[in-house]
Amino acid sequence: MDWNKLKELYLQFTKTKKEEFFEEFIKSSSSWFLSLAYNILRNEADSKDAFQLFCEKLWRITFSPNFEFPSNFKAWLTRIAVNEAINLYRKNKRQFKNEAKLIQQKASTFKNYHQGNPVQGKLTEEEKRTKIEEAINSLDEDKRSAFVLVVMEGLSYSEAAEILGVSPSQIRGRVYQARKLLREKLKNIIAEID
Amino acid sequence: MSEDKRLDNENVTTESTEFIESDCEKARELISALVDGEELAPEEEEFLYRHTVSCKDCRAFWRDLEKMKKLPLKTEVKAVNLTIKRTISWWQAVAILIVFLLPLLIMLLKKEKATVFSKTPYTIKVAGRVLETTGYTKLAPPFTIKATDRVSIIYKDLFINQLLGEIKLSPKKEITWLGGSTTIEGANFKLMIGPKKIYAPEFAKIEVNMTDDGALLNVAVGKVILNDKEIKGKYLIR
Repeated sequence: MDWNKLKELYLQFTKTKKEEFFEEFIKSSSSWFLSLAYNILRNEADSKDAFQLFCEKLWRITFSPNFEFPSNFKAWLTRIAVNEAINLYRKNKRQFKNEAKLIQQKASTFKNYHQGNPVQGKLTEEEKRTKIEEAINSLDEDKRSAFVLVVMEGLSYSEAAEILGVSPSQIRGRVYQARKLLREKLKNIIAEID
Repeated sequence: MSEDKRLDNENVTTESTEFIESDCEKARELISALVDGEELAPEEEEFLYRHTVSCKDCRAFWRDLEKMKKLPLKTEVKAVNLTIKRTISWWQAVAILIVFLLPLLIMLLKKEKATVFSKTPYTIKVAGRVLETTGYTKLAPPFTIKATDRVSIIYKDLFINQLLGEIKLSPKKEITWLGGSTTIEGANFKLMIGPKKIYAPEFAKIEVNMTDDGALLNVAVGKVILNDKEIKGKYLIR
């Protein structure tokens, strides 16, 4: 993710208000946004919906009379992205729960299969992926959001705190709790890592 | 590699397995922060150092967190094939066609040219409504109805004597007046104005001025016969 390029594109758009810069900006940021949204929402279709909301929001913000170019562009953009993803997550909570249940069932089937199978070799990459998905899905919204921002997006605790509207110490606690749970759920996979 | 073997590889001089649980929790939270690259306060660093030196579980926790960095926790989603299209849907296209293009098409396709003039607003209003139903528009007088025009639709439901105004006729080929009973054909045309009948045995150009007193004819060109009597110039039919 080339944040400088992204910032430059957005700057061009805010100055000129020309759609082609916005289009280019959206294209350049789509992969970053979709990954971020997916890691919060755990659903690709929802991530795309969130992406659309994100684009609309960004457009509105840029054209609002009080708009000022952000000093910390990355944190600013991440905040908008995370807020849109979280808003959608809350909206689709029921649906999300159902999907999480499905993944859990899938993982459970896989677990039962391996328990009943006398030959227990190493997990395949796909199986690991499923277990990791299950583990991340089991995190609640607060822990997952903090974990995604800090561990996956590489933001500092204070940046994540600003985005999520909590204190840095709360972020520290949430990330730790998320790690603790993931470590417990993924201990077999972690043990395989050299 | 088992947990014990891993621990054997480390230079740990003192080991104690009995800790207050809250100390381990505190230490692990600090370890988590360190793994994230966060700076600890000096007293936190001091506490962490003292604790981890003697707590193998917390050291194991630390190692696991470092290992977890290698896990594919983050799901990368490929960029969508994005094109911002400014297209209109089929129904929008139909709506545009109806609103903008259809009237234009009607105007272009319509060969008839027809307008009603009257001294009285009521007549214009009534005739205008008839016109509007057929896609005609109002024009300002005076208006010449060409011989190629078919004006039957305009006056279909109106009596000519209701149209108090000026009508100019320049017949060349044919005018069929379906609303009345009179036909004007070529040079030998007939025209009914109210109960009166007139005809032109040769090419003629007449102006008909409808007034409150009746129809005022002005034979501009040619010969016009009214009740077997030739009229010239202006003539009032009562």
